[in-house]
Amino acid sequence: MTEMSQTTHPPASTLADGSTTAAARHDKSLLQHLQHNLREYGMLITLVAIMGFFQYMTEGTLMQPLNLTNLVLQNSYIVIMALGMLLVIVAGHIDLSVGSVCGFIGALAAVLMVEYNWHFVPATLVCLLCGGLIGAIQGGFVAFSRIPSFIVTLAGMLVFKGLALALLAGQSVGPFPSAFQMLSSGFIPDLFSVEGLRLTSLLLGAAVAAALAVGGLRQRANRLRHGVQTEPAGLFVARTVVFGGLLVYFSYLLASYKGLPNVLIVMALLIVLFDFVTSRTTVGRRIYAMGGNEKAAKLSGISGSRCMPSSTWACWQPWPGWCLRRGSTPPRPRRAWVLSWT
Amino acid sequence: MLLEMRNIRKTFPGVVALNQVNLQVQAGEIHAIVGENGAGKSTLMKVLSGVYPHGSYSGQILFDGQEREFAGIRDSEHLGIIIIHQELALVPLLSIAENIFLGNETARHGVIDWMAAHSRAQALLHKVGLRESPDTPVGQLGVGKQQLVEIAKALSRKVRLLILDEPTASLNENDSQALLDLLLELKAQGITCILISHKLNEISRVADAITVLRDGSTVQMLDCREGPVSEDRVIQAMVGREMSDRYPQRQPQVGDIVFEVRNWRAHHPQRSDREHLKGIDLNVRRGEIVGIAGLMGAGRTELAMSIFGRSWGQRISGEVRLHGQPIDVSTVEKAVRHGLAYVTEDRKGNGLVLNEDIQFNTSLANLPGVSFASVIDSGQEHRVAQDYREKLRIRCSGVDQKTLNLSGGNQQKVVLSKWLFTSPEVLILDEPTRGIDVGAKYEIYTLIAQLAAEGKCVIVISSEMPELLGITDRIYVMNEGRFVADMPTSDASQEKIMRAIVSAPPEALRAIPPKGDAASAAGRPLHGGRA
Repeated sequence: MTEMSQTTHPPASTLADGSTTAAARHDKSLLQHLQHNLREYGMLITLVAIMGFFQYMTEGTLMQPLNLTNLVLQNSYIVIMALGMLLVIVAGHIDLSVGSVCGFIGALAAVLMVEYNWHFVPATLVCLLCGGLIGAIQGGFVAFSRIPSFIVTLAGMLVFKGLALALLAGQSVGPFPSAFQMLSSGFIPDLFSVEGLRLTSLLLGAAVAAALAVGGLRQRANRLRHGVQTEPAGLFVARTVVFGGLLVYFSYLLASYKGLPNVLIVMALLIVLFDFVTSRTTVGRRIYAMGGNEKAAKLSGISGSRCMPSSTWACWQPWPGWCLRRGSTPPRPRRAWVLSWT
Repeated sequence: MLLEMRNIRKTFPGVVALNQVNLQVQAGEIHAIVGENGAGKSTLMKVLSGVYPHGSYSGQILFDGQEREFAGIRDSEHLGIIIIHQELALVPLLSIAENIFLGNETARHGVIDWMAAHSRAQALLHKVGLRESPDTPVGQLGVGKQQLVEIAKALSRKVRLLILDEPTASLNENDSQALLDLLLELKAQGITCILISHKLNEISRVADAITVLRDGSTVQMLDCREGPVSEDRVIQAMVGREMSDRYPQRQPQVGDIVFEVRNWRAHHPQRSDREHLKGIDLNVRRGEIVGIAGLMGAGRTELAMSIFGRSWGQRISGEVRLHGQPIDVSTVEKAVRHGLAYVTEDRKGNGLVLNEDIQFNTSLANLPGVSFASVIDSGQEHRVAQDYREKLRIRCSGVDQKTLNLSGGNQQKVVLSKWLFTSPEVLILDEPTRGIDVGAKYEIYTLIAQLAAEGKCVIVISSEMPELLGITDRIYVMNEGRFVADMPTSDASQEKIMRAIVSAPPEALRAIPPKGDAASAAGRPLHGGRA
């Protein structure tokens, strides 16, 4: 069908361009836009449906402030790890070792802070660096030695699981300094004293919603100015309002309990960073090109050996995930999950 | 009358793909369907084979005089209508026999009788004239032989109407001829054939009737039995206007030597003892269009790719000079920085990131050109893509359209814009018009002429000799990894080029591998995933 729209002669191409009346075009474009983006909207709709289902089945427990807070506290580290994994998967590879590397870095953090009494700032920096180094080494094997990432990271998974056990000598180490624990289980401080509501958190949520709306509007204006196809105005407004509303609602729920967890802020910042890297920088662009068609990318002067480590490097565990969760390291891995060490 | 399609109309949202198409195929004839890319040939065949089931189109299909309503491919295959797609549907790791009977196994109670399959495969291979053991993995065969396996596969199913979609698009001259001979033989055995092709010389050789499609409608049906149909007449029907000149006129203004390659040697990437390029000297002057002619497997693509950042081969030696200065082209990045550009022959496999849009692909080779401090300026990127869209007249719904959905000619233009955006000084175009319709070809020739007029060096590699004769200033003839002739186009002819190839030095002749092998060896690193 698409082949038809590029015929070299006017009759068919005018049909494809839709140079019919403006009104008809508008209706069609809304429908078409939905059709083209069904997959993206589909995922959102599915999410909403799942939430609705459990909200109903748990008789409202799901959306209770306490439960939401717990969900965020317990799962943020997975989102953070998945962010790093994003680049690896886009480049067409896989990292099986994230779980064990996460565990290893967690163990390292514990040993440094608890046994060697390091301050948490240098300890965290060392851990981040270490995670990055591990990613770069594994990526190097993939890029330079041309060993499939599956093999490299499968080995890495076993190696780092073992190293973590060795580092901890099979014991649980803790507790972490309370300042460091704040990172994982703390909440942002409240500047106002309103009874039963953490106003700062709510305002922050509202500010983010507003910022997103303004950003979206500017991007839309920019696209229109350059004549890029955009979604229909109605849909844009509806989407912005719904998202903004949801954001404010969630921050309200969280604010009515203890406020926004620190780890949520960290997660949000990382999401913004990764979004920027993937969509706006040349590095991100190169990774997408590598994943889309490696041969074409290479013939366009994009060297895979330079891309791979950088994407794998990004797959560091930004935070010693386990410690973020429990405030102490686990004595031993119970199940050998790929993404999680639990 | 074996097949009649009446008033077929098929629409997709926003587009009328087929409008009142009529097709009449007599039993026992070879019926050619021609038309520009996007004229609706493939869509028509998909309607016929049941890919688009009955009800999704309007009109009638009569086969054997009865109206048929196919709900799927199974129904049409059951009647003996078998289609061989342009992209071959063979499993490279399975053997010939396994591929032939894939989905149609010689089995009893679900257990495959391999002995029977083997002997039947042997008989079928004999029929199509392929001398290979049925146990050979298909991946080891060249494209030409794979095509024959496809036909054997079709024959294994009691075919009555065989549809071939551009069967010779990726074949060399010899294999194409062999395939056409086979079609004539099948015709003698009573098998009807529909042939979709861009190559008019092939069509005029084998076709009994020609149906011309344009913009989704039947324009004309020409009967070749009544008298020879001239190519010009077919072209005129295809493009709807008279093509007085297939190549643009130009006044070559050739200056000094700009680009030079000296004593270039390279070895096969897998077999380091096999020297594929045996000391090549090449030079291109400012504003000159130089052609490289040769048979498939002569090493033309290998030459281009090994020069372009050592993308092919190993143990490469030789010197590349630009304006008399030796330059380092050891990686693609460096080659691009020195102003080289290589437009690949395999635009889908090596040229485009198909899943991404036009702007993405346009800026790919020159990301710094659309970014500041590693941050991409999407507005700038859009402007650049839009600019090339207008300059090269790329037909698309917008520069944010995925390149996957473009027709061949427009995809080629996107690849060209990608390289033009690197502002190259030397352009190497490898089969720039492969699989492109006549109209788009003319546009690409015009563009090539324009580039030369701007003072760039253009090297055109092509298997179509008329094309080389039509657009170049000078032609190198390549055979067996070396240049065997260098002639100004003004006194070149197809005969001369062929003579240069066949009268290559005796040493080169001795090294000629068995037919088809050269093509497959050369093709493998490029078309790894194709089969």
